[in-house]
Amino acid sequence: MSPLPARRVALFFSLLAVLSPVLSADDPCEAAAARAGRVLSAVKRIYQETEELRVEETLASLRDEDWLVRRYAIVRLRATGLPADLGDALLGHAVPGGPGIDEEAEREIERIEAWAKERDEEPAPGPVPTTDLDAAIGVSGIAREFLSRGLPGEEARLMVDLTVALVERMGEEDRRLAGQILETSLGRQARGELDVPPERKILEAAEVALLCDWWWKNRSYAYHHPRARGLRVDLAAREAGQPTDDYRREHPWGAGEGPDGPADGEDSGAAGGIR
Amino acid sequence: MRTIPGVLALCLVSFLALPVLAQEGEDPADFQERRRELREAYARARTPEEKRAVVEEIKKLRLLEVSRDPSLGSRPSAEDFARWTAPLGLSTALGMGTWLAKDKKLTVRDIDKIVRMVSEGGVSDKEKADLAELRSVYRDLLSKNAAKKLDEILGPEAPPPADPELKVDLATDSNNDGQVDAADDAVEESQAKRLIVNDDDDGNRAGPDHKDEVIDGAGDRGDMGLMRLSLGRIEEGTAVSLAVAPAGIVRVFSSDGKVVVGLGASTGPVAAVAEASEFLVEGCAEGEVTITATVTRGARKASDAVKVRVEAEKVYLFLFGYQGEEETYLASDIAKLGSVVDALKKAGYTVYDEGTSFNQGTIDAAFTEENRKKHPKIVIIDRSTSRSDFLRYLDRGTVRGFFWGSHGYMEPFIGCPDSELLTLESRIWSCPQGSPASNDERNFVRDVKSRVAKQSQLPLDFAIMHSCATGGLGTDYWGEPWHYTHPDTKARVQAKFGRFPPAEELKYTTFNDLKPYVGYLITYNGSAYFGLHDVNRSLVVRSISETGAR
Repeated sequence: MSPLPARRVALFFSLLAVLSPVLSADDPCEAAAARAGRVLSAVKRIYQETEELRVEETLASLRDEDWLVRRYAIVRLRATGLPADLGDALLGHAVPGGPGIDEEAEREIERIEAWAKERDEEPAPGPVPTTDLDAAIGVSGIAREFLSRGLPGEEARLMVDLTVALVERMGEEDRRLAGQILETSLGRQARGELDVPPERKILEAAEVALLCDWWWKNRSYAYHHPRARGLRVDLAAREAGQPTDDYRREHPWGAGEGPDGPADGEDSGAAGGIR
Repeated sequence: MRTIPGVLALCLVSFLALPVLAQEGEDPADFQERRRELREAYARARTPEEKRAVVEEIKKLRLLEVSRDPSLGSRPSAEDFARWTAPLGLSTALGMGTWLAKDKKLTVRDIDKIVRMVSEGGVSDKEKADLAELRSVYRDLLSKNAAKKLDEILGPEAPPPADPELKVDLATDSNNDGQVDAADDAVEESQAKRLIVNDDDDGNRAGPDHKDEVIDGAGDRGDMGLMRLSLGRIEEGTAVSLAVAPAGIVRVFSSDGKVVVGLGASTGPVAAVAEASEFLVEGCAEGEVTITATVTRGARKASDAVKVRVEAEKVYLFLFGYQGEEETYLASDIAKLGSVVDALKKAGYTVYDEGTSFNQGTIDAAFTEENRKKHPKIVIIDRSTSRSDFLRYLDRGTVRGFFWGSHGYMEPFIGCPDSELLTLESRIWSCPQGSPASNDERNFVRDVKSRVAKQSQLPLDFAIMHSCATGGLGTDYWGEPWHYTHPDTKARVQAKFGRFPPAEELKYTTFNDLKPYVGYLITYNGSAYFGLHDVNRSLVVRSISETGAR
């Protein structure tokens, strides 16, 4: 077998490099896995910096490309003494589908940088590392908050994508614990379809893996259910083999159906849930 | 404070003074008879106080005699008086001292004069003995320099000899086994009876029991430490006192509820001296004291002491209320607080965690009298905190810091007057005991603030109000201020205003109102996230370490 000409090999890898984001973007699972790795790494770093009170090192994360990393950085800075009135405008930019870093955000970041420069706090003894599981829980806590408040369909699905991808990165023992968190967003529907006993609180690692698989197979049918404060699978769309967004354009939900329907016993108690 | 010997001496003086006055019109033979009586009285006197009382009478008698018979000369000098009292058996030193002490003090100049008079050519042993008698009889009238001068000549004064006839045994539960018995004697010098500050309110007098001088029934009595005093045979002239050092930490009651040693006092006489008496020691402030019982009879003295250490109940609370579906975060949230709990453990705190089985009994055990006396430094981890439990913990008044985690939001106080309908107040959800997935009751700022303000150890080290909107709606919820308002309140707002005014038209009351009472206060302006990544544990630990968890 003759070797491939060098120019053809170079062209192949160039094309791969150009197309890989596109390919990843087309595959939610791969895209989420890549994002999960990046977010997890950033969150662990930010956590350690802020827990050791080295806040000036966290400032760069305020300009991160991922809104979730930016939000996490603000949350951690606030936990470390950033006054409540600082960062408010930046939080408005650090939301799913938000405007990103614009001039207003830059001004806010400059104010935060000034605060960091003037603060007089002795660093705490380090290192204060955190685990993958704990970092994943931190991220999922933010994701959970947005999910419970309601997001447009694809934004909500991206949140669950990330949570699932984080769970899939966990080792066996951590995966069992992370699976509990994941279930909070997936609700009882997945467990019911997988024949996992409802009374058992902690799933086995293999069951969590099944749960993740279930998500990737069903994600395009998932829609946000306000009363359940999470996602539900549109069974009719699945039956038709069409993504719910497409299917419901042709077959709108009826009154009392879908997002307006009952939460199958998962209602937290009052319309809109109880907070 | 006047001592028992001092009182006895005064009584004796009064007794002896009556015959002197009665003899004012009598002849020289009467004076001689009276001097003989006094000489005998002096010989019988056993204590310095008794002796001093007798020589004072001798002095008065001599002055009276001189005033009646001018032939005896003018008013005598100190030397005259010393020479005159010598035949009575009084030393020259004591005679001079008696005269010079007429102004109720003996200065170093007086002592110099006496020494010059009695010790020509050096101080002999006899003269030292005379001066020692002077020091003994007039100890309390010696100026500081006069006492120093005598100490230089005579050496330090030896303590009164222990009297084998006097027996005193003061005992308390020094080994803290719940009994006052012989086993305590062996350790009473090295171990302290442990008490906690009597900070509850038996009898409901609207304040901690240690603030008053009343024993409020059996409950209050049970909060105090029993102390027994056993004396030998009681003879006339026996006096007993209790001394507490330092003052300000305990109060000592007699068994019938009378204060023997008050909180601000260091000593107190025992009014009714009996062979066996019981006392109650009430812890009023943190610290260690030595309580000494001293029994005196004449010059004899005996004492015994016990130690008592008072600690205050101190409670750190880690409370979780309504979690809803996010109950799944509970285990990791509690684990996340591990470093804070560990810091408290290192400071000697005992952790009571109701655990995943939600066993409230585990927590309640912390507050039994038996347990809190042994472990007054308490950490509570309540994974399913009901409103009644939450308020009960705060009502103890011993909280040093607390973490709260649950769902929360803002709304007008339920049942508020119409004038408050446009004021949103932060509130946090408690949950039924054992059921964090369910909601129990709303707990508003006013419920918590009124209780935090009454804690006995302010400011609290920390208060972490980890619920959404404990510090305001924030940008997260600015657009939905009425979203979680109670339906009845919503109906009232609709009826009164015909609409739901937007956030910018409303007033707000948040848990930031706790600031005057808390060193490190964290509230959430907008979202609080399950997972607790919005809590900086290092800063919470620092808030504790800065106080040393007192």
